[in-house]
Amino acid sequence: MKFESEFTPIALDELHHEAAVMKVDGWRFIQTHAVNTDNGIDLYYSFMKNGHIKNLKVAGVTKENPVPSITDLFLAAFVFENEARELFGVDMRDIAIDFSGALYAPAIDEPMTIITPEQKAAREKARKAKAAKEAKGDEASAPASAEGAPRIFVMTPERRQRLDAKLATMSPEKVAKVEAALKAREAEAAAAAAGAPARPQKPLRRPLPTLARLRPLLWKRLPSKPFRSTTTSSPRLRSSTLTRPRRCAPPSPPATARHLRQPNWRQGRRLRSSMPLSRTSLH
Amino acid sequence: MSFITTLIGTIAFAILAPIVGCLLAGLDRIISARMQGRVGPPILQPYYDVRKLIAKDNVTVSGVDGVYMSAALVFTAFAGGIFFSGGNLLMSAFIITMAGLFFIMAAYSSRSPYAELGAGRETVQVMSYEPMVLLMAVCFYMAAGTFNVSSVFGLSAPVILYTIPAFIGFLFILTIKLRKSPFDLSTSHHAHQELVRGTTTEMSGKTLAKVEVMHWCETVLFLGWTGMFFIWGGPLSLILGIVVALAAWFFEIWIDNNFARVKWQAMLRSAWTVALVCGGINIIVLMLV
Amino acid sequence: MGKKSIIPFGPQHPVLPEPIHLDLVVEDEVVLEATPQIGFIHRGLERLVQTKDYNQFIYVAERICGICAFGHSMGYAETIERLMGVEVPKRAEYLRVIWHELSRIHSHILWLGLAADAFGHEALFMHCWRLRERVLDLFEKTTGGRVIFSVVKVGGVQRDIDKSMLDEFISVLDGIKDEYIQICNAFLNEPSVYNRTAGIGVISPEDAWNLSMVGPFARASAVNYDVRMLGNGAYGDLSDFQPILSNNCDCYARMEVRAAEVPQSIDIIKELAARIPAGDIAVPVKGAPDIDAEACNVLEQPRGECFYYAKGNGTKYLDRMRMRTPTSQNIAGMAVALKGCDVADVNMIVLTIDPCISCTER
Repeated sequence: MKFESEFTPIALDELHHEAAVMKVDGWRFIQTHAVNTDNGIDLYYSFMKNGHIKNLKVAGVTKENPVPSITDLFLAAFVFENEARELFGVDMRDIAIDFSGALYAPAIDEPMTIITPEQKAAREKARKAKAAKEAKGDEASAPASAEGAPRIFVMTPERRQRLDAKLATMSPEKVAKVEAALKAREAEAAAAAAGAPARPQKPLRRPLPTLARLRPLLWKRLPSKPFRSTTTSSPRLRSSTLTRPRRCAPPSPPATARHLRQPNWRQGRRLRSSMPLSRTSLH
Repeated sequence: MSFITTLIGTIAFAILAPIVGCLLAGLDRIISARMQGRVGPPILQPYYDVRKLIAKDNVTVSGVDGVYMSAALVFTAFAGGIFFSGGNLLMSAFIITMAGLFFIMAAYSSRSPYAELGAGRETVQVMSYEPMVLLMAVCFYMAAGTFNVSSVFGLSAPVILYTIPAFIGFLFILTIKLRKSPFDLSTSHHAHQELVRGTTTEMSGKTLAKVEVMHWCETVLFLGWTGMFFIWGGPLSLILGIVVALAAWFFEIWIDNNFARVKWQAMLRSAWTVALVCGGINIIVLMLV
Repeated sequence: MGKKSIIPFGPQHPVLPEPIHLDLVVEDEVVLEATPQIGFIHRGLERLVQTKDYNQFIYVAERICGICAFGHSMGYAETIERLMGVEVPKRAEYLRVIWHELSRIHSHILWLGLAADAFGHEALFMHCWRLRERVLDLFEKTTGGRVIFSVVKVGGVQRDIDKSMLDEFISVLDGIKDEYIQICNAFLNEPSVYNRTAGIGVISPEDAWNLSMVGPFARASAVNYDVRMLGNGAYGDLSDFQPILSNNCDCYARMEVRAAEVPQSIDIIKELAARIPAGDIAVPVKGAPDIDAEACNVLEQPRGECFYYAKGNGTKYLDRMRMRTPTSQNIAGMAVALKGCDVADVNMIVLTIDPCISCTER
């Protein structure tokens, strides 16, 4: 780790001024990039001097905030600013060499701002885990009983809220079981507080069954799907045309000028040969 | 010479020169490969290439380049026929230049930017080597007394003894005519140049096959010019002529593998300098002697 | 006067190593202006961090480019190690630098061959690539792959090179060096090559600094910057490292700088191989990067300085991974150098920035 790096937050309106100060100071421009966050786009401008990397971070840029380009100071930034505009939707103004959306020309607009649902779920889970860890850290310092006493389960209001949210999605039998277990634990806590010896705690979850034991269960649970065929029951058609509807028109070609439209290979063949249309074509 | 002899010579050249040229081209590729540390293709590879090209579909931008190339082939055959049947050296030089001009027209006809640039460069190439070719023919005339090639058999000494500077100049521009590095500007055997393939960018199929065959015939013709300087007296000196021609051809391959390509300004300047110096000195010497 | 024509150069062109498109406005074989255009090979690899966890993504990072493959895997691994605060064992650092320098050797020899091809000297091209095959054989012996090695992982390296293999390494490199010096002679002391490269594509030192150029492209214009000077990783244990600079600022100087970097790399490998410490080659890395943890890293790849940035979000997928490759910086320099040159020089100039457009576009 022989070079130092730092991340310095700045405001959007100071950006151009800071970049100009860096240039006069003799800093070398490294790059510019954008990060997609929940509060908008964060822009990072990286500079280096004498083995020290300074990253200026402009946080929370949305579409309503136009960002001034620094290509008048550092021409090499034009590639990155065009990229930020195309992939993240940042409103960059006055880029010296402007590709107007044709740098990568992605098929979807602002593709880097799209987060998959699995990703979202994973991030939420991580955030919750961290919050839970912090909360647990607070409770560990909360009033505890004497040394050596078993851990006492305390039902705090947030825990009750979370439990209620979970119970709302479960079936009534499960809800009854959970409430019974809670009551038993409260009774235990009361007994422990009263001085009776505590029972050894049962582990909260049973170990998951191995797949070998689960497999027959899974087979039993699979619904039997009736075999469906959209056409006749002839073997050839069943295998090849199971999901493809027959005799429907192909999607119409895009509305380009006719002289630019290329015939697809089927049309080309048909135009060349004089034989009648075969039955397997889609027309 | 009479028209019949020329016609027989043309037909013989049209049949034999592609065969000899094909073998020479194959040997060229093998020797170049060995110089580069590779193994090289089989010796008949150029023939396989031309056969494949002839079998391809015709997908040219305009069909007229095929016509131009056919004309170029016909004129090449004429030039070779005139030379090898002992005819007029100057006429042979003019007709082969005419074939080169048809090649340039074929390149211009496709209107592609690479082909146009390549055709422009090919024109500059023709401008570069023409002076030396003409001066070489003039020196031959001054040494042998006539432009007719058949007269060498009646000479008492080979022409080379009187035309050494012109021969050296001719060897210099032979590199341009044979399209070898450093002068392979307009189109090279290797597509790795800035103009994709220069003049032959838009040619494919039969047209490109005609270009290949024309190149073979040209090679044989120019090597014939080279050997002509060393022939005198009886037919035994033919062997010496052939040996010298092959040595010159090997020398060209060696130069090809040892030089980078030059730009057209350098080619024009150097070719004209050589033409003026070598050809000029030779002519002055022959006039005084 | 001649008429202006527009020559489309690329993306498919036999002399270009990577797909870049230039519209050359040409008049009488002189280029008046050239507008570069990229985007033909954008694969969206930075987006892929969302679906591949940080250990798997190293395989994607390697495949950004075939020539800089090892550099990207090493840079990525170093960035994640910074992010998670992992200390890599010394032996792993040494091994990484040895492979990285070998990667630099193979990349420069490849580039020399392409440059020879560009100015029409096919024989030199064949000789250079034949020499490069011996370097690739070394890679195959030690990592199992010729181009993509998959030998770096977060926390260290996956394979070791034992003492006998290292000695063989050094002897093969010595053999390569002799032949390499002969080939360099053909490049640097040959008049026809000099005519094609001297005075072409001149970028003055002030312009090189203002355009933030990196790599041998900039060092040939006297910009004194090489990330290896900063002493990151095993580079810090080198006894002496001086970047190779040149004052001539033209294509010939760039060729000289790259040609001279190969013997320097061979010396670095020899020095590190002699001093490599024994020990582990990897530490196990558990867990995931913290939420809102950020780290950045620089690495001197064969083409120049490559900048990496990583941001974690608590899951095993990274929030953002950024790789800024040297060619993205150098495109501005190329656009400036192309004005006013001959058509015959275009591919020479494009090649001397050592374009790696796959890296630029990821």
